[in-house]
Amino acid sequence: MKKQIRMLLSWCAAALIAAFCANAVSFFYRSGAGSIPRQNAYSISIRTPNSRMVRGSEGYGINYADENGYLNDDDLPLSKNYILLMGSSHAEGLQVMQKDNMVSVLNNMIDPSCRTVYNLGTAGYTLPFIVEGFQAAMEEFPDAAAVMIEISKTSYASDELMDALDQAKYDPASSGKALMQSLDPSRQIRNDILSAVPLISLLRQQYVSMDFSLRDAFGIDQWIHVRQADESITNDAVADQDDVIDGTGDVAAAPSSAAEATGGESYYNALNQALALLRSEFDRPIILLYHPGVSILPDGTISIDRDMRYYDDYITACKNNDIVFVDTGDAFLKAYEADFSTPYGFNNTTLQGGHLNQLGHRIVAEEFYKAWMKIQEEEKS
Amino acid sequence: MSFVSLAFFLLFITAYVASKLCKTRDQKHIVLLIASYIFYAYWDARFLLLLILQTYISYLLAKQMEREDDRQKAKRWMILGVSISLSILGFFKYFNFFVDSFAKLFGITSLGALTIILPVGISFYTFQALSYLIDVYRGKLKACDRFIKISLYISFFPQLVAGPIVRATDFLPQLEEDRPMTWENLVEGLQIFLFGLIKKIVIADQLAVCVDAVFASPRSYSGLSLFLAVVAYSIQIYCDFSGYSDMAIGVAKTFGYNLCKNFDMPYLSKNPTEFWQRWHISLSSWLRDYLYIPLGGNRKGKVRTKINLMLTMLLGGLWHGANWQMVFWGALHGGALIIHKTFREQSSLRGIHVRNKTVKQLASAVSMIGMYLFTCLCWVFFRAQSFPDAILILTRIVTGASGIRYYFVYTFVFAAIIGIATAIGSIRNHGHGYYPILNLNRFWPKVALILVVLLTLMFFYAGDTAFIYFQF
Repeated sequence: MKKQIRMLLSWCAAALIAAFCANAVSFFYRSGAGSIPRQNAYSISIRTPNSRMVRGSEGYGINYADENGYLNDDDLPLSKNYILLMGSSHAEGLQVMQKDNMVSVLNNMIDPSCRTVYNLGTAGYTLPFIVEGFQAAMEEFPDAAAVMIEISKTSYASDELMDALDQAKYDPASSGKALMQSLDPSRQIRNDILSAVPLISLLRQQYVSMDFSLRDAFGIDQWIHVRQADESITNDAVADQDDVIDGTGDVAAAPSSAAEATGGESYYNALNQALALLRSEFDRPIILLYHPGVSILPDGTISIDRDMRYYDDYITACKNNDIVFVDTGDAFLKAYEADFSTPYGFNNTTLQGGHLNQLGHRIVAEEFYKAWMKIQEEEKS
Repeated sequence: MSFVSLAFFLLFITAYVASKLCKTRDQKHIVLLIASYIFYAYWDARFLLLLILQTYISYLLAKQMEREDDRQKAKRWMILGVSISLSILGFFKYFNFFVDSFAKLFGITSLGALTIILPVGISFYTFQALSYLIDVYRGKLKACDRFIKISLYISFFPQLVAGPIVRATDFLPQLEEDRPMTWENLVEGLQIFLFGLIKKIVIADQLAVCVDAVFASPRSYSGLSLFLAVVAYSIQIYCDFSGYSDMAIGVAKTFGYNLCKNFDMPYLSKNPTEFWQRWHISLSSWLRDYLYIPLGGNRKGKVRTKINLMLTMLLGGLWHGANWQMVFWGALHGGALIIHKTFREQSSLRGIHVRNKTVKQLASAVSMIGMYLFTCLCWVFFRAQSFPDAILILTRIVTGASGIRYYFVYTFVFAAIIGIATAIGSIRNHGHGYYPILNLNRFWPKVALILVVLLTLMFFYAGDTAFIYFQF
């Protein structure tokens, strides 16, 4: 019995030492407390205020969240007439070092002595989310002199955009500072543990990405799929035959899913209403920047994957609402043609996939800067 | 069922506990056979029938062979068995290839192709069945008196779908013994399994990210990026395949069985002959014993020896895949073996021997690097999506073409790890690989083991986990 207890204790001690070492490695690979959920504010979650985050699985970035829970380097003072930059995880920029993200580069370009651009980039924040939180952002940051919006996707259901018109109302109790003060002890303890033991988050992330399903067992699932595919082909063939026989031409009355997905009037109306709402809530410059995806083609060139179904809708809706629309596609193409540089992907993932890399951030920042300078010049003249 | 799945974990636990509870050897064999059939049927239950059919044919014909007093008649039974096995393999694996090649040769637009699903592991278990039949014919082995034994030999789940290709002469005698499922075997087996698992899910799968991207669009990447992708592939395929073999050896060990070594630090080889003594050892020795030697080996003169070498390697290439790229890959290795053989003959004839130790060491290092680069060149044809793609990749590498600069970080990291591990193995075991089994009665090995498990969980790649050699 004594021997067994000694053995057990020895394994526990070994596990502790091993976990300590693995945890030390995690600090350099993936660390930093997670997000804090909230309501009645621009975003439905913020990073833990005043924390440091390291991410090494896609690119490598060490970033700091400020007291509001957004990724901003607060070494320099915030300018009086600051610009809010809203966007997705691309804008947040966890995959690059903080000095290399679009906000830092832009700040350097506009005025290196202070911070002119304030980053509100939040993971998962596409245009509908931005619209939904816009009013709250304006209330939380009332002195903003301009708004820059970063988007990489344009395809949403019209309903998503319409739902976003029902905006969140700002409650000062939801600010990062207030949340940290009112954080309940259990959440506080959880955050402290996750900060001290990043190994937990890393293992949890790996666990979530694992596939434990047994659905492909014995080839049954595959067999059913093949059968279903065969049946649907047969049914389609029968339907096609009926159309020919009837000659009614009513097929168009039941649109295919592909037809439903294209822009159309309802999409444009929803988009126009959303942008009109932003304009009504903020009467200063708004820049909407779209950075399309990029694909490497087998012939050695790249293609800019603009979603042309909605592209013109964006240009028209922006024009209607006095919003500057910027497309980085040509700049991406130019960079590739110059020296085969790619705006997306990293040397520890694949190129042309995933998030903006250092070059991508720089190009986006330059395009924002050009648009901003143009607005400044127009205002002066 | 893949080793890297929840299903396998459940099957292993169940089979292990059930085997442990068995009171007799026969009961254990039944448990293992059921587990093996579940393991195989998990992919596609229909092909289990094919496996059983092939096993049954081998069982019947081997018995028939043994019954014959007349050697000629026995030979006929053996040829019949070999023909049936090869016909099944030929139909499932090579039918479309031969029809397509025939059509192209005679300029026929299309002879039509059948939609044939390649049963997983068919090349491996067919070769095992063949080795059984031939060994019984050669009198090296007695025909199995019970179907369950030959079934378990052919379908033993650890090595069923991707090797090592176990010889009947090695495995069947183990079934005649009481193989203990001891605590030591379990600990050792699981450590070997873990060793293979790391090679697969941490190294090979991570490198696949880079390799797949670059080989999908070689025209886009710079010469250096392509070269690094080829290096990455050389590590990926080694870790993927040897990782599977390690896992198979480990699992078999937990049940008390020993499987043969399949890899022995192949990139340390100084020449093509040595490479094939270190890479996929079970296949190269199979080809040697059941193809090269029956063809005449080196007993029929120098020219014939070289023809036999080339034929063996061409068929070895074809074994890997039904396409001309694989045949060409085999031809490259065959050519290299012939050149090496000729070089050795000439050196011996002319009495050329290097005696200076420094020169000898330098020559060894140069040979090792040269052999590695040659192996990489061959891998380009093995991995490229088409023959023109392979030529394009090599051209771009040689000319240092410009393009996207993609220097995948893990290529450097894993090359360094493999390099260090190889150097340690080389020093500690005189140039041969070994499993670094930890003595878990001591404290620090326990720490090391748990740390390795944690690091594996932290850094494994959670994407696609298909083994490269499953397609063969």
